[in-house]
Amino acid sequence: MEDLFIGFTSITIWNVIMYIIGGMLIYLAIKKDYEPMLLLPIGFGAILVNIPLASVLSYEGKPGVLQTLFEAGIATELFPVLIFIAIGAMIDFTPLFKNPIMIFFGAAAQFGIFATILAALFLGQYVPWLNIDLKVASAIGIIGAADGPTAIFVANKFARNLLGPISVAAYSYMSLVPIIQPPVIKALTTKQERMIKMEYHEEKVSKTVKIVFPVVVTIIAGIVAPISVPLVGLLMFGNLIRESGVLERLSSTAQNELANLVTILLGITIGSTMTAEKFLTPATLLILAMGLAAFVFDTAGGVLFAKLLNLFLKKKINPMLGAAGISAFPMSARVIQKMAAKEDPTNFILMQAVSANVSGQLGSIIAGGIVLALVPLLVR
Amino acid sequence: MVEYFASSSASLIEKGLFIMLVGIAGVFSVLIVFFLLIKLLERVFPVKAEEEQSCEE
Repeated sequence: MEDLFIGFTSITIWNVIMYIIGGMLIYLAIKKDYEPMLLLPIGFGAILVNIPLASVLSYEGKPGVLQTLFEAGIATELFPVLIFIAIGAMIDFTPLFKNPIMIFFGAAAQFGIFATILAALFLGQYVPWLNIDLKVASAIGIIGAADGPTAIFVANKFARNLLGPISVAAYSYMSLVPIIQPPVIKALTTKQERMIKMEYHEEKVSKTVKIVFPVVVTIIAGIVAPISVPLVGLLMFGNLIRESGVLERLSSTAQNELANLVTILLGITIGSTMTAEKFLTPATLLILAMGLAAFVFDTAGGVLFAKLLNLFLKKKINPMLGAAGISAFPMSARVIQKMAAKEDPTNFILMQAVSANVSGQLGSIIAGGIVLALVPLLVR
Repeated sequence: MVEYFASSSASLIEKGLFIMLVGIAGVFSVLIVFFLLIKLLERVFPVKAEEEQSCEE
């Protein structure tokens, strides 16, 4: 008889808290439109794995459906890598080719990753029970890539038990870019700086350039950081499909069916890592706090770098463009244009902001690759 | 130098600083190469007349 009510007798307060957290993620996805494609499946996955006995994780001694998906898609890194093909097929590098100088903001805005790694290590020194080693700090810092698949890829390598909170933090803060970035930008710039206008020249880009670029970038990135090839290589593969001009159907499939299918599986599988015992820990709070810090550091890094450049440039750059160097595309570019228009309705810097934003997508993957290559060398 | 930071004699903070230094320098270096690559590709493969025409259309 007891077996009939095993669900009732096994439930704990921690399970209930996880239902509330899962419900909150679903609420944010539906009501607030915060990255709904990811947060909704993650929220529902979090509820599924906290139902007593968690039969989606294991059933009668055999792996359950979500555990099988985890082993097949996350442990092997297949899902994040497939997402990169889809992202590559969606990215148009044309704005970057027209404003190549903006590529440097894609580098400067990765400052948040490294500053957060250092901050997490500092915190770990003073709060030893958090057990923050170099791998954990790096997995937390990569939230600053503002790039979900890269964060998942790196966290899976370095701190698999923290995959849930790191993914939730990465996607939540990406959707909160319109709230996080403006106060940081305002604190670091003057009204005059925010009103700087920039010229935009409509230049044509050869189709050959668009085709050769992804191939050469893959080779260069692969030589510099071979471990980054699954990230850069498949992103550029997706982009090559798009730009080739002869694979319309494949390009469309990568941008739509592949992206949608993998996103469903990725989201719910990430949610399946959010069991109460793994998620309800002080580390989760730390990750949420450090993730926010990473986005603030990213924004500050980009803006301050633009201000530094302005010391040497005759034609000044609007320093807000530095903040668009993060990977959160196209939110960040839109935020910058909105802020510019607020200061001066005739100021149009959207194209430059998009260029910086596209560079951020390259910069975040390169930064992820460098972290992946560097950390194992230092923890031998 | 890497040997020192890989050794147990380097503190975690030192290792973190090393990652920060090499990481930022690495990202900038790679993106500088991409910047030069874009400039080079645009010189080697300028927009053809027919491409320009199709763009205008």
